[in-house]
Amino acid sequence: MIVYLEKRNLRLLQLAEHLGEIINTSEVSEELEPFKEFVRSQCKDLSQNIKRNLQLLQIRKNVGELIVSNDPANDFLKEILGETRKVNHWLFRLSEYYAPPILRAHPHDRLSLNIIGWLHRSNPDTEIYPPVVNSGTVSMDPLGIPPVYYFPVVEQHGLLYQPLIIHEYGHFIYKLHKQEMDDLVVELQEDALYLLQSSRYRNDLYSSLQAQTRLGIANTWYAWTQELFCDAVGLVMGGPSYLFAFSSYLHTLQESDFRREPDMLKGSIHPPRWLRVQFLARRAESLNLTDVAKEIIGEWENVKSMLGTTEDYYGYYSPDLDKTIDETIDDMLVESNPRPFDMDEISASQWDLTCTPILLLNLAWQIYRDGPNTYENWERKILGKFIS
Amino acid sequence: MSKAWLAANNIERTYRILSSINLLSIHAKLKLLKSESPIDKDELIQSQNDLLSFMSELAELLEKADKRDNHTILGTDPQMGQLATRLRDEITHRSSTRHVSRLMIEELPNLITSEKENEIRTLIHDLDQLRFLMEQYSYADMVTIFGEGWA
Repeated sequence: MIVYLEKRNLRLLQLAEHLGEIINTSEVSEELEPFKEFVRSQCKDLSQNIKRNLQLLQIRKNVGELIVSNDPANDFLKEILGETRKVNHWLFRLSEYYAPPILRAHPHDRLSLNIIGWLHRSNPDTEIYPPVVNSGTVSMDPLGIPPVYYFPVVEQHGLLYQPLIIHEYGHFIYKLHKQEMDDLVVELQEDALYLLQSSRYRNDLYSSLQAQTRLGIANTWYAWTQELFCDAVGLVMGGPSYLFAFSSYLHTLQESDFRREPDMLKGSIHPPRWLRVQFLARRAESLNLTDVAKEIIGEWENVKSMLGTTEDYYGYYSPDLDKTIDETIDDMLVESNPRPFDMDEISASQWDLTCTPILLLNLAWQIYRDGPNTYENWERKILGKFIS
Repeated sequence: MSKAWLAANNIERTYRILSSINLLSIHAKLKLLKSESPIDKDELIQSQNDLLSFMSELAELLEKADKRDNHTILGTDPQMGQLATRLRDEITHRSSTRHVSRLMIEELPNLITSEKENEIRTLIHDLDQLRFLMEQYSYADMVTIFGEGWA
């Protein structure tokens, strides 16, 4: 076993050092430079950890010859195996998640990198984390901190859908405040259990199944609350641009936007989209964005009516929960303190490089809505300033 | 966010805690063997802090759940909830043989810094039990993220 672990760690060391070398010699834009530095130092730490494993194996060899008896307390090979597993996973994470955005960087990344960098700098909790983006479904890499943001290729080349990045940023600030946020979710979960199930309570053989359903609903609301929080972060920071981007990008014009079967609801991560739109619209109204809220709701209602579909949440949601949910999200926003948009940013008619990305994204939507045909030329000029 | 996202978050947490357990365990064993430990002091303190705060989070979840009528574990991600449930089962069914027990959770802070040989041995045993529990429950998440294999 010692020989095997030695061989394994030596191979991992070769790979870690090779990765460090190719990261070191790669050329990236100035926006990506801090992340490259982070990955380089990760490679160094990883190599040191592997070297320590080799050192521990050497100690085990020496100690083993002298002392190791039948007493299991004297042996620590199992622990070295665990540490080898750790560095194996660490290398996987670096190679699969962190290296590609550096080694496959593209000039078009710079727009998203600028926006992510600005978002991170907008809050003292996130300002130290370097921005990084890769191509893929709108999401955030789940492994570790700093997070890798994923954004689809075509959307990455334009301005209109960039506000969706703010939703992903919401997941990041949730992660940084996880304990406090989770504490806030408890109350909501308790209310959900009480309000959604109490009227159907039974005390017979069926009750254990019912208990499982209750737990399923509570667990589902754990994830749903986080998603609604991230939507709220998108709106509070991005203003109307987030509502327009969200509604336009996520509306698939299918029945599943409005309802899902119970099996699809149980353990799901995202609330049905129509529910998300309604929560967003209500919050938009509270931010004096009433016209935008009405417009979006109107569009969704039209599609809903054309599809002839009705809402049914099968016990997973009731409007009775709205007040608790809205209050929980309000508390989460206070806890995490995302920077809110200001009125100048959503009403400006000019942009230059000294303005915030929030102003730019709202201006983009305004110009697009005023004249979709002339929008592309305007956008091309703006993008040129980022990519040059 | 996706199911894989929750699972991956959990894997990161599991690796961190397992590594803390391993480093503390190696350090304790080398102490018994009177051999010098190559583990950096800062890293050792970080491992102690990580493990203790993780255990106290678990204990708090169980305490709050005990106060609820239905003993449901709420206010955490489903993965942490599952681990807390498993820990509760261990405590309920196996505490007499000193598997993972409430006593262990309470004693851990003292054991970690103890210099007494019998307490170091208890610590090594407890860390071994904790490692077993963590490794068992994290398997499902590994499959969610990495699948059953790469090829």
